[in-house]
Amino acid sequence: MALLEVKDLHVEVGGKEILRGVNLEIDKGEVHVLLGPNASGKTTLAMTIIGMPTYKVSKGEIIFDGTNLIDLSIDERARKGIGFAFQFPPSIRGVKLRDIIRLCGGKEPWDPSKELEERFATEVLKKVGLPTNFRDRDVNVGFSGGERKRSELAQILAMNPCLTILDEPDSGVDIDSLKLIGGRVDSFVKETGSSLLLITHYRHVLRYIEADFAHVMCGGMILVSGDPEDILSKIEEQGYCAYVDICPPALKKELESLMPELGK
Amino acid sequence: MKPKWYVEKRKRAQEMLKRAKPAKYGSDVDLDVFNMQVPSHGKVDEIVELSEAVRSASRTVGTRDDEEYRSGTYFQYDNDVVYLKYTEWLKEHLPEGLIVLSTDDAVRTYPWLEKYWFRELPMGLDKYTTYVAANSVGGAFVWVQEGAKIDYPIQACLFMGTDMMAQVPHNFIIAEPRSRIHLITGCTVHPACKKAAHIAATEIYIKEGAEVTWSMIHSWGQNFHVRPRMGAIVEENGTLNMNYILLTPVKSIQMYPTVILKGEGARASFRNLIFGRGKSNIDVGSGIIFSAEETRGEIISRAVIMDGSTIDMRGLLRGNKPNTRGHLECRGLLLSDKARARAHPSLDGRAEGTDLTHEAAVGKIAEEQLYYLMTRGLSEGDATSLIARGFLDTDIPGLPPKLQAEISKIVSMTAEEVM
Repeated sequence: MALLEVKDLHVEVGGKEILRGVNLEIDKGEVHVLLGPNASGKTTLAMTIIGMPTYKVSKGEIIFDGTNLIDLSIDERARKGIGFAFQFPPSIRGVKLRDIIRLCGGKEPWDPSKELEERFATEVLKKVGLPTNFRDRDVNVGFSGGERKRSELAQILAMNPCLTILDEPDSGVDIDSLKLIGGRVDSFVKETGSSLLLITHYRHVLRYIEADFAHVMCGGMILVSGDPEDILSKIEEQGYCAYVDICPPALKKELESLMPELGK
Repeated sequence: MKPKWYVEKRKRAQEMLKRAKPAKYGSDVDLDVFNMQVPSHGKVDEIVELSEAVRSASRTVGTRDDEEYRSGTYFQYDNDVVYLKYTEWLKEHLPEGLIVLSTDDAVRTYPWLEKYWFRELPMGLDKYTTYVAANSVGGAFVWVQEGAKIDYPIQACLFMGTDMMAQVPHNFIIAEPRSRIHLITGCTVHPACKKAAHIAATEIYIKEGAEVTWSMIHSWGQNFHVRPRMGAIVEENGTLNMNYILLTPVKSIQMYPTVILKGEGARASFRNLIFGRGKSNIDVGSGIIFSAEETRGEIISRAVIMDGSTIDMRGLLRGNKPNTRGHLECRGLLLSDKARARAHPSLDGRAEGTDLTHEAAVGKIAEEQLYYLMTRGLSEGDATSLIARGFLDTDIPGLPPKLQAEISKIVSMTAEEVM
């Protein structure tokens, strides 16, 4: 049985259907890359898996480790072993990164009277290349794009989830951050056997992360799944238009209006 | 024998009180229902001779009964100064540096006190100030000598134990040039005392280059009316850091401490951390008047409002002189549908080259912050509590780290208790 099974998933946001029958299976230890143009539903799929209440499931199932997640809250899903790195994490004044990292690792917030306890956060920060003084920073407040991505990854490392979902860890970061984040994710997956669902637009990050499968999402459906090399080469040559012919007719029409270049 | 000037000023205040009008802010408290004559509590030789109920209540507002890391203790129980001592630390390090008395004794000892008496806090300011001028009993007189840097805090506890009493202290802090002191004042009540009033006046005089940090921690009951009044003046290059923390429910509290930065280079900062619990009616403001060039000031108020509580957060920055800069920040976090929070920031620029700014925000916890923490495995309740604690976590300028840690612990214990 797969670790994660998404079956015929339909999702609405504010009354509008965004996902229209997504199917996806991820086995233990597998690395899946989810590609697709803007507004194709990639982030919606991730947000639905982690349980964000604004994403309403109108039909379908999400089975994780044998349990249907649909009725579980965000934190219950997290505690079952789903870790999520946000593309745009919010800033929270007064909440220290060291305390979040400790809570991610199932520990209490840092008690300054216990000096040694502080190491946990420091070590995790070191792994993602953030300076030690970040433990005392308010989470995401004044962080650069790259620092946010690293802080998200640090929290994932502390959580040690069975399924890691990364939403565009490569957007808005410089080449050094990309290399570090990619390398760290790859070694984390290999060391811990965590499954990975990686949402991205670019192939660069895949220089550092070895992927087993790629999926192309369009108009709220997965159009094609297969070998990451093949799929990425095709997209790079022809753009997402390469897959327009395999769209169901109704979806094709909508896609054409969404992306005029498809109709050419 | 009380000096003549004192008796006359008091008589004048008693006359003024007859014509006193309700104060501008806060509900009007009928002071006539409260008694000023209460049974005496005598004196104790050691703080540990006070009952466990008294000591444990006072510990919650920062009064250490072991007197560790303190320079001295002033303990007023109802209207009696039951304990007043300097610690061994002070005797060893700065035996001449600090004088603490009951204000009633200071009046008898220091004739010069006449020229300070209600100088920066006009006794006609409002009916509560007049009431203190007419009726005050006790209060701590803290006088730091020139150049004395007292790095261990002095603690003052104003404790109430008698139902329907009015506790009416008149406090003084006088910091002579280039001195430094940290004062921690805890105001609280005996668990058996259910209803009373605390009407207080505090005058603070900070002279050239002196620095005063004053942390005031309040823990009342649901049927207490509280009206502290404060006037302060800071001379050249002097600093006042004032921190106010309200921990528990109260019937009504209204205060608007105001400082005048009179000398060039003077600084002031206010931090107000408020827990609005139960059916509290809270009206807390702070004011800074920039009356000399190169003065700076900052007011930061944070309130977590729960249950059926109401808060008005006020603030005033008045720039009378050029090259002055002030910032005012009021933030209210509403944790209940019945809670109400209003911010009333006020900026009054009266000179070209004064730079006054404010930000105010009132609202619920942002869902995106809550959900973010829940993706890390925190329950909704734990996430709310972490955000609220973070919201109240603001560094207090001027405090030694050890005192900062003590105060942070008091705040986080209350946060844990209520969330």
